[in-house]
Amino acid sequence: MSDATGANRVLAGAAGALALLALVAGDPYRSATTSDSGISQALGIEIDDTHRVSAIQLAEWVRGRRPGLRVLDLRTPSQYEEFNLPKAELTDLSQLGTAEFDSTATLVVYADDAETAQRGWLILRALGYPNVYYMKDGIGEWLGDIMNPTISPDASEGERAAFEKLAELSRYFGGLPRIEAMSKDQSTDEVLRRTMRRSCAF
Amino acid sequence: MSAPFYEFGLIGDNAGLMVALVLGVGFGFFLERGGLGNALKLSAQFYLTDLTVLKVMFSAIVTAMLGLFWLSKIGLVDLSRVYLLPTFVLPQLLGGAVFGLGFVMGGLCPGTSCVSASSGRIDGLALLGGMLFGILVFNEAFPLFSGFYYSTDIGQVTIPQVLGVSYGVMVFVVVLAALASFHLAERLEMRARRSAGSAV
Repeated sequence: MSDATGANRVLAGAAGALALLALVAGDPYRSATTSDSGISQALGIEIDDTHRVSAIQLAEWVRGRRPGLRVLDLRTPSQYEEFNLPKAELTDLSQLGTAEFDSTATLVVYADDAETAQRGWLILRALGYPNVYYMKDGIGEWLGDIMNPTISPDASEGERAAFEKLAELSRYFGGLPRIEAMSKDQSTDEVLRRTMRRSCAF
Repeated sequence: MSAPFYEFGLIGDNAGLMVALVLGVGFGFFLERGGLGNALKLSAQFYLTDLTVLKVMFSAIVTAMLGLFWLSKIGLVDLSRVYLLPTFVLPQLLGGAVFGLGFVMGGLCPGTSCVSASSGRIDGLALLGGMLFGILVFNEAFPLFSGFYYSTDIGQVTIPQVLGVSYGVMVFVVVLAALASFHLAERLEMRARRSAGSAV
């Protein structure tokens, strides 16, 4: 048996073994969701809540004109046109890797869902930007907490005082703070429509 | 690292083009080194005397398939971000037939005609010229058959989706078919060598 034939047999055996294992390995597409954590592990970067910015925190940064703040909207152009956060710049996730920012900038990414925002965060962190944050619940969080904050009629004095600060922030952005129990089954779309009717799109 | 790098924004347009260039040069180099720039060798495929093309192509398919399957399983490739060409049944059947006819007549396929031309073979240059002329004619005449070109569209589908089997079964069947065809190819080539020897 020549060396080449021997090598061929080893390769054929390896292919056969991998194919046999594939029979019981399951759907490769289902593992795809682990890809972001794969990047995260490879880069030694952990996604956790310390890199998350709340809608209220972001609103305070915007109102306080935080130096170097860049807010990146990773949704589609039509969603951006319909409603976007103040100062937000429409940014294509696939182009994020080639976009250039000041290294001292505070970058905030948001989308409709946490997964896209975290993916954007991961790309920017992988590129070496130190101050990158993501909004976990994105536009829904902004609409709920800033544009339509509510407080229960039977809230305590302490809660009312905290709400008054939030209400002031909300009004700055054209929001409508209310004293009522917000319906739990209101969708983001419903809140968005209500907000749009008040003509406070930025 | 996780792939596709371009889809995840880890590389941009320019880096993507550079990667394509490096892969293309590597692909061409190994095709040439494998003897696939020679039309006589490729034509021998159809006379069942030299099945190098079948072995090279099936090896590439099996390697890519097993690689993608297992890299996806361990989370290094996101298959949902790998672009799938949509399937247009009748136009692609006709295109395949035209491709096969051209392959048999010219002895080279598009990739190998580039390899052949770059290694200075006249037949490769002629086929490359014909291919470029064909592209020109196709584009100029496109409005005449654009209806057919876009007909029988079944979208971005895979064989496991159409047959209703799992991807693992598909991988197993294709690898099994490849190994069987390699074995058969070796036997056919051995028989061809023997009969060539006895003819001399």
